[in-house]
Amino acid sequence: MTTARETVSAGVATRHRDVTLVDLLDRLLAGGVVIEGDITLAAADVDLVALDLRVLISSIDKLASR
Amino acid sequence: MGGERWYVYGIVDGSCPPELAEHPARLVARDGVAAVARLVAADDFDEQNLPDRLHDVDWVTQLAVEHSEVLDRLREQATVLPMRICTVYRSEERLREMLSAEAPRLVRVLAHLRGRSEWGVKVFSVRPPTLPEREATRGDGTPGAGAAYLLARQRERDQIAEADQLLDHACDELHELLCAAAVAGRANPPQRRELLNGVYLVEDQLAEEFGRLAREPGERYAALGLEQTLTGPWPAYNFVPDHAEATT
Repeated sequence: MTTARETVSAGVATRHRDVTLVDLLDRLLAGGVVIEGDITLAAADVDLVALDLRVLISSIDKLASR
Repeated sequence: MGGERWYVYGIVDGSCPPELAEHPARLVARDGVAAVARLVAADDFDEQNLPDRLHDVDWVTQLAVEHSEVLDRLREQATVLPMRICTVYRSEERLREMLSAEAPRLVRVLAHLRGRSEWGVKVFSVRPPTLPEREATRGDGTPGAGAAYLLARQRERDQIAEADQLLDHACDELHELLCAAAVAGRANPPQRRELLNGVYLVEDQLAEEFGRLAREPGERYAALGLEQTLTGPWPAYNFVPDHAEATT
């Protein structure tokens, strides 16, 4: 752990941590290390999940901007 | 089927592993790297059931939030390589085999990300932009009603095009500015009402400066009806190379 990181998380960072679920899902579904697991989300699966989630997005957006 | 599987959240440096405290996740180490992993019920994560589970929005949401919380806690102590959600192994041995096979790449990426975090900047158009007033040209030649209508339509189209250009330009400018202040930056495809969906890998020591830059266009942006949001620090979801041969 570095002091720099502590400063960041104590200061500017935490104030902007009020992240919508949508933002999180975008990252989790599209990003991260892709390594062959015994079971992994195939690209097609990811698309399906994304599709399901889009249905929710407008309501989440409304919540987030309340 | 029953049984258990190993769900992997992320990868950390095996030589100075973080404390996992009370979380059920534990470290599985091999060849200088360690997976942060948890035993999960095989019923949730086998090939037959997983596709169904993925259509259960509550289930996916819960998994995503948990995945992210584990990584956030780790990020406070160590450099973390976030795994894509739902990477699962049948046994601890299979997990160790993966670590062994991927260790050189993982060590390299961990070194690249050390002391750096991902930040997200999104720009939204929340109001039509205020454009500078243009002199109307149509009054001059006293055109007929039809011509006046066409002229008005043309002006409207020009204004929309002009506004679009201004907005694009403002977003491009901000993105370039942020890229220059970051180790790396990328504009992801905008979602929904976004005009910019930028992600940036930033030195932690420069995070405050980066945050200032991301917020600075506030007044200029307001005139254009733009609003921007800054999120982070995130684990570097968008900055892990896809393949072993990818550049560092």
